[in-house]
Amino acid sequence: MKNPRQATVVGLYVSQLARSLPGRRSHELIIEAVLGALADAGVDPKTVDGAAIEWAGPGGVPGEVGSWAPYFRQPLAWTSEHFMDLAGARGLLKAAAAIEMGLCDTVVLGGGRAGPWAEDGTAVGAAMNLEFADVFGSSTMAQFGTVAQRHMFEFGTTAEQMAAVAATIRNHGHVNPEAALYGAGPYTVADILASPIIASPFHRLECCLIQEGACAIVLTTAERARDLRQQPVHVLGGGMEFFRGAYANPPLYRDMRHLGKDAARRAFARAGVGARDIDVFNLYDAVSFEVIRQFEMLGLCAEGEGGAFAADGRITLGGECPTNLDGGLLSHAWIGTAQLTLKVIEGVRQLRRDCGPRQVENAELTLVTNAGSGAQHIELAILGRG
Amino acid sequence: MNAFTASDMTRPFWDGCREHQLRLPRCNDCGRWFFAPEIACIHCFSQNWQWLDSPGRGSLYSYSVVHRAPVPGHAVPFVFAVIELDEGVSLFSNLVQCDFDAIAIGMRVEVVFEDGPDGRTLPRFKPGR
Repeated sequence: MKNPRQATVVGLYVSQLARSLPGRRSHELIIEAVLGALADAGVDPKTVDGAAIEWAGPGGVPGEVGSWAPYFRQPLAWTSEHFMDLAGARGLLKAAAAIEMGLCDTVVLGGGRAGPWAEDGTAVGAAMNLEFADVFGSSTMAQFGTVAQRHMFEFGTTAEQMAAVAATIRNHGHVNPEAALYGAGPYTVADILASPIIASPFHRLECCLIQEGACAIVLTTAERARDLRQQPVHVLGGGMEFFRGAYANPPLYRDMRHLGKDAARRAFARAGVGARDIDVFNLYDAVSFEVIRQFEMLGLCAEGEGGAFAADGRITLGGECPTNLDGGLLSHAWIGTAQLTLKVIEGVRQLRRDCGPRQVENAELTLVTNAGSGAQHIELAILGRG
Repeated sequence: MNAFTASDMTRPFWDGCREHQLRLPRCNDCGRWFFAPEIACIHCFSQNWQWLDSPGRGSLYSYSVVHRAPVPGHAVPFVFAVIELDEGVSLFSNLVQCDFDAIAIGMRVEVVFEDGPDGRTLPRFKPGR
């Protein structure tokens, strides 16, 4: 074993995912996910010494992850606090760093939500208390829209190319019985373009869902993972970039065009592999365009060619870059911040090779990305089958 | 919508808008403009900066025509715009007095002041020279 402390994903769980889960509460959903992931791993909660889990409450201290300590090995040796550190590639990498440094040995990471996103219909990313954005009608979709619009202007990326990405990923969800929109398709490019514009250039079917549900993963050392029941999946490398605080200032394409390139370089160098070695892509797909930009970011095609690259069948199960085979945020689920963890989970499941009809044959390596140009930050992780 | 209250740091900007004058932070030490206002100049960390008047001219860097109301009661469709001012800073705004099919990235724009939903006067932009 090269590094006995190498961070390894050993457990995972996803609750029911739906537009609405009547009668469920966020905290109780999160507990279901935590216990589910521990059961999947075969890990006793009393041996967990690190937590990166949303504390929804009631009870405990609102937002304070240390509130979980009594349920695990008390005192905990490590927690992560900021809500963005409790999910996805960012949460995974910070927990992995803590494990590899010896700050703790076994971490549960998880979160989720029940109840409407906004009682009054406020859009995601609107009314964020951002003094120079909110009042002009800002929202997450509108901000990503400005980046996509500029990419279209500079490179001639077309509405059809972006729609093809959305149709492909939504069709992945259409045949995934676990996806919130299972059976809702199939979709053609024309179907995507016929859906109403939310924030140009994005049509409704190019924008991610809003769902309820929870999920969790368990990480430990490679050494401990050998004694556990699941096929180990190692965290091989990762990287992050933060251009500026999210959504407060305009995401100019000329700044965002390189977002993630350094992070990718760092991640691939540590993992000792290249982007072309990745078997399964789990790319952030809050909007169709961001998938296109990330292929450019990864250097799999030249800047400006992402539209043609992603639109010609490459991202299907049989293509050379199978992407978001669970249906992604567009069709599988988006559950608040824990959406990001769903990306990690699909990656791990592909490497466990238990994805059934959507399984990429002999998958050894997967890439997971979170956030992107509109948000002005990105996190990405490379996972490998142990 | 609740009435807006500016902070001490940002009040000169909104007071300027009420007087139909766009003002931007400019660093007295390194001479560069920045936006949005922050305690320190984002270029050199200096806290020695001041508000200077801007002619409010620039170009449309990018935009999104929004059809889904961001908050209840917000009129749609509208143009969510990224404006690049001639001073070199960019800001969010709205493009107004322009047909949607006449919107062109790179088009020249100039500031126009309009009443906002929360008591603020907003710097919006119309086609200009």
